[in-house]
Amino acid sequence: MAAPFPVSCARRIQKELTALHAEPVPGVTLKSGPDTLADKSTDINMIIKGAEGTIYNGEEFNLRFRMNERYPFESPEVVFQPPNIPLHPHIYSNGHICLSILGNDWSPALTISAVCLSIVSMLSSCKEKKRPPDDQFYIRTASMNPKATRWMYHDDNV
Amino acid sequence: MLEMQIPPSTTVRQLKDQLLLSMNAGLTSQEKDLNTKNLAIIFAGKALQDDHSLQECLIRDATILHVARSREDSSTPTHDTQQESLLPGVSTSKSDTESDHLIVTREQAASLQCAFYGYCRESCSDVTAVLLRFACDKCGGFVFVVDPITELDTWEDILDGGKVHGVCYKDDCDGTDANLIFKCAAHQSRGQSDRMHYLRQIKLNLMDIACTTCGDVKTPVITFSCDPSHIMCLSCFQQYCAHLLAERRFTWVANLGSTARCPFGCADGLIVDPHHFYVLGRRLYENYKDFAAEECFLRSGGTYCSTCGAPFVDESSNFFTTCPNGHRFCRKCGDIAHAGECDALPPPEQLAVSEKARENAHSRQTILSTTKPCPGCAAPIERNGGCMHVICARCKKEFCWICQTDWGIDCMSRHWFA
Repeated sequence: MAAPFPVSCARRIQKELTALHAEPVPGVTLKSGPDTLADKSTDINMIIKGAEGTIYNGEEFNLRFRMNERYPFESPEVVFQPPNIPLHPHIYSNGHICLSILGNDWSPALTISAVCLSIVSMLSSCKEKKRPPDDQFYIRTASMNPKATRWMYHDDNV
Repeated sequence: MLEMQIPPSTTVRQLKDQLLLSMNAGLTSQEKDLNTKNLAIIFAGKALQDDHSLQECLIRDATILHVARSREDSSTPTHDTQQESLLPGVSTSKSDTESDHLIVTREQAASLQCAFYGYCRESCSDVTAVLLRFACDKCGGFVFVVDPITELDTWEDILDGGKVHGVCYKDDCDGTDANLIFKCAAHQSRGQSDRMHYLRQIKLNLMDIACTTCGDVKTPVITFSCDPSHIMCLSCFQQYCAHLLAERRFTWVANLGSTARCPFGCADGLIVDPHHFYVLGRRLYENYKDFAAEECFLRSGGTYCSTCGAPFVDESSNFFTTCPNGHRFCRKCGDIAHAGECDALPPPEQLAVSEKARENAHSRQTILSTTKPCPGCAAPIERNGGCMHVICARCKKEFCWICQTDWGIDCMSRHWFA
């Protein structure tokens, strides 16, 4: 990311991390955040634990947030990191997540917490471990950045 | 009516002290238990805060203020007093009122203590505090004294252009009606026609609510129309609108047109007056207007001529249509009328007649070589990255960049990312 990171954007991320520390999302812990606020790289790594009573009980997943300088007006890039990528009908085996709030339905009022909460709830409500039907041809050609994909959000039930 | 000359740096508390001195002069000692806490100084419908100076409250030359004495048994001003929506020139029967005439020197800077904001396009190119003036309906002059207002219920009536009655004191004018008009407080007025647009969704952040986007507490703020109203600070709102414009994601609302939705997605949370998009700045506001006009036109069944750009409405369902300037073209691909199949390109010289037409022909060739027409509305679309699943920003059709038809599972399997 070549463009310098605006102060307002860095401050907002810092505020979100502080809020996340004060009011953690159940099952989610911060693994590492940006070292300094002026840092051009804003990778934030979270650990998501599969909740008790769900099919992901006992599993741990790494989730990476990457913000660009237009955050929070533009959505963050959110992907699961290998090796352990949840088997879920909306999560591709390369870690990309098909979730409308990360694309068309993003709003600057959403936060890292809100996204984590959505992902935890998406995992918790899943009844069957399987990949999306188009996983094989998606991962063969997809770009590294999930935001280059125009998703079709066809199923809100899982 | 009590005329006073007061320097602009006087605080509201000091003014109350001065008033008490003059009011108490003729009273018995029993009545002298008034103190500054019993008084409310009301300007433009708001009780002024003690620690603000008159210049911060935007009180200028020849301003009439109202003084209301709250009930003597209450030691602090009650909420009733503060929330009463009084108009300049209104007196209430519940409290004793006296009108005080203040002479204050003009101050350049806009203060943050006013209740009304607008966008000054003429001089400041910024959101500034608004001065309220009553202008005579007949001569346009501001030397107008408003009668006590009883029949008008709320500010909204007057803000919406309701007239108020009174007397115009300008020579040779016998006007009896006046309109509320708005002037920028941040620059020296250039006369009667120097006005601005009042933006009613920009308000003082009296409750210190954090911006929904940056989390900072700022004032003034944009308030969306939802209940309770969500707020956004002006700098976030400006960026939010610029982003909506760049992504063509304004929300279409019948009767309002293209507007911005509350970031929380509240169904009733909107920007009700599109003039708030003045905050985009002159150039982007023009883009916004073009976008909104185009959106409105297309939604009411309009077509743009693919050659000269002339907007027109053709209600027939014919394959070819003809614009008011006589350009006949195919509605499907936007190309000039061609025989048979829709994918044939016309030779450029067929288009080039006048100089203007030649320029258009060059532009058309560039557009043709860098874009593909939307299968839904024929708008030329340029793809600058991402996958092959394209959504037309104009008509929202989802199609495959390669097949030029509806996006489907087949395209996903064969060439999602080419």
